[in-house]
Amino acid sequence: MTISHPASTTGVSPTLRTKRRGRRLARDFNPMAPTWGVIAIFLVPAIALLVIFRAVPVVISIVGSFFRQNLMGERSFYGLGNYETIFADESFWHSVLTTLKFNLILNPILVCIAFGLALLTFSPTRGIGLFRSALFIPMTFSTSLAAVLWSLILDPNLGPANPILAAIGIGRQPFFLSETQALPTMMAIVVWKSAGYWMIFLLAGLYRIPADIYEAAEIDGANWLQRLRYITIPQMRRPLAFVLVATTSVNFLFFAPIYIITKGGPNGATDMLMFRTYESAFVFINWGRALALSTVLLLIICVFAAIQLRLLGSREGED
Amino acid sequence: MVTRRNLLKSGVALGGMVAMPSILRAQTPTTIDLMCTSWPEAQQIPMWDYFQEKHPGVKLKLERLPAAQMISTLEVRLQARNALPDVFFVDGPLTPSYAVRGHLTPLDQIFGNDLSRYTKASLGQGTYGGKLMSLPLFSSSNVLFINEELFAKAGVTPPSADPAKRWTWEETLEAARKLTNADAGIWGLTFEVADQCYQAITFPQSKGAQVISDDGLKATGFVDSPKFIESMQFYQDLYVKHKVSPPGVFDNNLATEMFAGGRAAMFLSSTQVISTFQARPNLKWATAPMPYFAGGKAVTPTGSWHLGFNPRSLHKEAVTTFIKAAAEPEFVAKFFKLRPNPPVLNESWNILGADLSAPYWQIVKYEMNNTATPRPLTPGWLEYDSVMKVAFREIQGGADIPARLKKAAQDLDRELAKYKA
Repeated sequence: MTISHPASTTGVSPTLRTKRRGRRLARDFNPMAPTWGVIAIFLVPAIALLVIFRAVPVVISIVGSFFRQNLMGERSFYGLGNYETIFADESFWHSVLTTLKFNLILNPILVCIAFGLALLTFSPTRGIGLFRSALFIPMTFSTSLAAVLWSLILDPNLGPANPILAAIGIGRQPFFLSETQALPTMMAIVVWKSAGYWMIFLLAGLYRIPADIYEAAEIDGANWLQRLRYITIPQMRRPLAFVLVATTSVNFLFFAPIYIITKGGPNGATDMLMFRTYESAFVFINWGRALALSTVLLLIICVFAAIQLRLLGSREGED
Repeated sequence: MVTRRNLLKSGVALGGMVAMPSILRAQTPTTIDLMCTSWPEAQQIPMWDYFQEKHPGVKLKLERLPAAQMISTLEVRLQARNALPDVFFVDGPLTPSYAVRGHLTPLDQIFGNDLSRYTKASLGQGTYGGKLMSLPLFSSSNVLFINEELFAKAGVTPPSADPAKRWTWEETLEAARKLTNADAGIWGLTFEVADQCYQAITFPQSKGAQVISDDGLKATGFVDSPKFIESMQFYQDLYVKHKVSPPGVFDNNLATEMFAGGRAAMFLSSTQVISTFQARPNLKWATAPMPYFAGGKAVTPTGSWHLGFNPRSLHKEAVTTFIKAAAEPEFVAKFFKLRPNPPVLNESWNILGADLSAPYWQIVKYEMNNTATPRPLTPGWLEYDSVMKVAFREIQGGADIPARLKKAAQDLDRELAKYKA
């Protein structure tokens, strides 16, 4: 007796059915217009991590800033009390100013340097990979290690920097011990550590600019500066906006080198909001105030990011 | 079939089942979590091994961290108010801070009236609200270490080891100026922890300044008092005007190495560095009592690490065993041999007679009985120490002293206010 396969009753072989199903799936799955299910599979893990490690702490922080904790750890609603306390404190405003000064000076300089490095390393020259890697290496150092390293190098008494500066006639410098030099020295450390990292993002942006635009400009007789002014910079608005917003949010939270090297000094010269927040929570045991400070910091970052995106966001018609 | 024999067998089996967990528990040691500082292993691990050999029923799980990080980590862990760590190192002056926040179990019930064995200063540092809240592990004292070769080279006569003939700070400065040789990279005077209250507040105290209000909750009028400012002027001048001390040397290991390596002629330090110096046969060193201000009084730092008992620990019996063991004279004596800090038990000074016969121990013994001044008793010590540490660093770097101390006082008053409630 012959047992017929259900497929054979229709006169279509199983192999042919599989092929047809595969073709149908291939026809249905359009990578340019994926289904909601496919979108969800790719997005859910990232969104879940964002919610757990970003959104939830932000909500906890904002809610917690309306509470206070007594010495025995009991929490009670405090309304805007924590905010009233920090706004009435002169040293808080000093920290806000220091944080703004640090970011307003550092971030444009950092983006310009990263952009300059990206332009320098854009042309395919022999050994360019090595050069790019060398610029990226400081990023592989942990922030704490970089802070310890530079505090040793720039130690006014024992570090190797001062004998070199003295030998070339510049003279010994106090670096982190000076009210005027401490903040710029911190900025220099940030530039050293992260310029190569941001350069990579801008390099990717440069590769995205179609070569035929440059060719057309060259045929029209545009020189290097004109091509930079009229093609490269307008085409780089989106990568530059991304890097500027990202550096702003990272550098507003600048903490480890201050904690390790200056503790906010000398005389409050490096007393930034992030350090003050840490100090409130873990040294002064005032969690309500620490959460209020971190909420203020979050608001400042949001305002700056919004302004930067508005100023540098792509205009209609631009890619 | 129900027979007498079967009944007996069942009874024995049932009894065994009931008793088995207790037997197993008795054989399995109770593990307690000890958070301690990360001193060199040779200076502490033998102590924990010694305890576990004597008390096989208790096993220690160590969490070792550098001192400053340990204090920060403890803040987070204790604020979480859970059962761990069961027992932890307490920096002596932090005892009131932990006590008012309910992080310490009173130890009176463990020791009863058996506390007279402790030296007065160490007991005072561990006591808050009339109760012993942390058990002193050992104490500390400072002596002035002298590099004899550098003194001979500079033609300076070293100070006497007799506390009655101790140098004034003014005499010490004069000697430091002669001993400093900038070209050769030799400094006249260095400090073990120049930026920490432990050493730095002895300057105003020697001038006769009170460094905080009696209730330990107000800094304005004390931290910025004329005597405090005057003493800080002397401290700043060592670095800025006379340049006899190296600015920015805040790491105790670095400061110790500067003296051990012949880069500093005088070194004010606790006695725990002695083993480092003894390991350098080429280093010729002697000791003298800590200087004081002319017209003021001799003041020396004291106090050190204590043990705290977490009231939320789930292993109270095992922690009690550990705390009791740490108070035994044998334990204290053994710890002294590993880490030579002044012992906290009066009787240890007799037991360790031979070990404490060196000239520096004679100085320490005198200081402990006469000039040792514990850091102020305030629940806000964590805040006080942190705020003043930054102020001392900045004064050392040349900050305007009255303005900087006024700011420190304001910051402290703001932070201490929470303890008034």
